Amino acid sequence: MAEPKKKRVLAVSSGGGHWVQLLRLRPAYQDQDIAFATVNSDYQQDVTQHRFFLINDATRWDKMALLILAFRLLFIFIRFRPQVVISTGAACGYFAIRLGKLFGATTIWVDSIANVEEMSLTGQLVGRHADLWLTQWPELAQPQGPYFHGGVL
Amino acid sequence: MIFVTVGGQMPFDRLIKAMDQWAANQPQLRCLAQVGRGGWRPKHMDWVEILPPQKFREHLNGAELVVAHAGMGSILSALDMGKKLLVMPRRGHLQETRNDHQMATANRLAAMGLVIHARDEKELPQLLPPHGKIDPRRSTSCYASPQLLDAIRSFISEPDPDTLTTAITSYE
Repeated sequence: MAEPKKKRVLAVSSGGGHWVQLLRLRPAYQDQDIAFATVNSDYQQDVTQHRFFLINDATRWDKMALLILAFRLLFIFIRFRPQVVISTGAACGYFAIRLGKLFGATTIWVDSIANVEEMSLTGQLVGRHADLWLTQWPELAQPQGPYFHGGVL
Repeated sequence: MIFVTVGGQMPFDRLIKAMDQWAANQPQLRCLAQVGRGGWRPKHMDWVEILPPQKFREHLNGAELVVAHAGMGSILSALDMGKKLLVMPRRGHLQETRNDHQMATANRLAAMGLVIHARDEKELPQLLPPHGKIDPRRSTSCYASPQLLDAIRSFISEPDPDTLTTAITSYE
């Protein structure tokens, strides 16, 4: 049987826990043609054998940084043309999912495990736009999404 | 070595002060604290504002016990290495973070037996040696659960919501 063709997967997250969780999901996408976009150039050490794009960090209160972030991601989308986008948050994940839909990619949002009692704010905003919307806590699952399908632990 | 970390984003002086007070009575133990940029500087522990990721992992790896805020970056990094981990959550009403999500995280992970949860600076020394005995935790894999990995893997190769819905129902 022929090997299934690899898909271009863009994995996007901000720093700290978001990045660690994105890496914990790696076995799910590492057989594909993958690239990472994240906010700290030091993280490249974690994924040396893969394409790496640096983006800026932005909180929802900093409109200018959000705008720059959106444009940087747009530039990455034009260059890499991902067929799949996966994100664990936060703000950069919002733009990545929205751009992913715009570019016709399959989009996956895995809400951070840090959100035990309610979905993250970004998750609430962007979840419905993702093709696959997951929470890591069964209590937060809803019939229309987010779905629960296990966690990063 | 006991490695204390408040993550890389902002200081958490309440934890560092509590650990420093405890360390003052444990001269035989070496402690290293990552206090965050501009964080309070301890007197009885070695300290650093922030470590680059590679150094951070080295120190984490060398630690017998990790004491941290209840941030997922710190928690997952410590669990990845199978470290004993004690967490004290940042609190929303003290403006240590935006809300009490760390409290909720700590409660849940403690219930799962993955971390030891110190609610505040008064409880913290009670859980540390010589008072508290800290049990070795069960080791976890450094990857997400097979269930989650399978779900995402199959969705990438076959992005069909119907198959996924079936799969999800079967887990209920």
